Amino acid sequence: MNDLEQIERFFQGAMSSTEQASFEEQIQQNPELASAAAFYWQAHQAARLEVLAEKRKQWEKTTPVKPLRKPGLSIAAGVAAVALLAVIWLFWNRNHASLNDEVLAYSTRNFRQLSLTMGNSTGSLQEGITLYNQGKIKQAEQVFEARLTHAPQDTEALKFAGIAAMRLKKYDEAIRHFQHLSNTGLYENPGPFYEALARIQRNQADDRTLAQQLLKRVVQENLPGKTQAAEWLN
Amino acid sequence: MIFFKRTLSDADLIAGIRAGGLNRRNCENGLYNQFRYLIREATFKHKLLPDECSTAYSDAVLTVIEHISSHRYEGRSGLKTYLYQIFYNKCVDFVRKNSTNRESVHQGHSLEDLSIADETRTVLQKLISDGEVNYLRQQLTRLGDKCQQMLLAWGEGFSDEEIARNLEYQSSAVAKTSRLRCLEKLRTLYRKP
Repeated sequence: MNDLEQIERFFQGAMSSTEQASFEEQIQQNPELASAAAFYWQAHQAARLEVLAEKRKQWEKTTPVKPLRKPGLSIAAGVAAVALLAVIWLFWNRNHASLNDEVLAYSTRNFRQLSLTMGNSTGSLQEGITLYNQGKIKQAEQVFEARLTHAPQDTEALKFAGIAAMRLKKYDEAIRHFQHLSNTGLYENPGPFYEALARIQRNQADDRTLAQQLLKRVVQENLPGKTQAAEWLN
Repeated sequence: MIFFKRTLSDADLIAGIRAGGLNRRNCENGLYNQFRYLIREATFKHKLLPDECSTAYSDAVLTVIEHISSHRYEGRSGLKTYLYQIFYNKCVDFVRKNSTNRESVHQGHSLEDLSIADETRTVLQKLISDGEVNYLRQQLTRLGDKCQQMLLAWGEGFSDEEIARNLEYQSSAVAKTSRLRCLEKLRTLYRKP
């Protein structure tokens, strides 16, 4: 058994306690054996480091590891993102709010009074218009609705019922009346424009998109409300 | 498709590493990749450079593989816990090095792990240095391919039986004799620069 084999048994812990004690004594007293033991140990370390270098190359072939960013930077990035979102939200909201305000102002301005000439013949419609102009919009609406039960295709009744419903913020009903009006064969049909007004004020999920489509249609087909529609679209 | 990436269980990894061959290589890679996020954590936690953390992590993975292979790892804790502890100690070594201007970090096994008398440890410690280890690494490359393979397998922690199987020796005894001869050749190169 050569010295390296002995040394290997020593480092592997394969010696009995007596044998180990005696071997350790030899190492302490014999510099040659001590340096052989040191060589063995270092050779093993050297071989292991070579293996480790190869393994690292092999393992790190995949994407290199990026260090985690410092939390300070992450927090700053988070704050910046929140601030940016807040600005976008405010800007978006302001644009939306301003359009809503404009539409509301337009409705208030144009639908405060119904012109008596708007309704031409039937007595019930005249009665409704009078009530509306007196501020009795709810009663006016009932009159217009009553008229529609008798004459569902009456375009004047559909228009007034829609306007009254819109003033009462009953946008679902208003939209229903204006859609009905749009589907009649009326030549100068204000139905699409009025529906757009009602949708912008209702402001539900798709209302803004649909209102935009309606306003485009008004402009393209030269329908009543074209000038205003073009202005809002721009 | 990270959602469909399969994670090997501890049992799979241990069985694969102990099985040897191609399966061992795959499981070694699997072990390395499975917990490599620890490198990122350590760069942040210990304020170490990514390269230092990568070195410590590779060293820790290799140690775990050796311990699994030699059955020193007994499964009393999960592989992640076991690996993390070794990795943590190696990172602490780097932190110490950075704060005390030590020349290098001890990689691999330490004499501290051996149950030997303090006097013996002191004698050996005086003879062992990183410079000598690096010099031996250079000398290793001067050996023939077969000897290099043999000593690297030994450095990786393979038993003589595994070396005999992998390098096609008749028996573990033959592999051991050849390995010690290679070591003797290395010693000759080491003595005669």
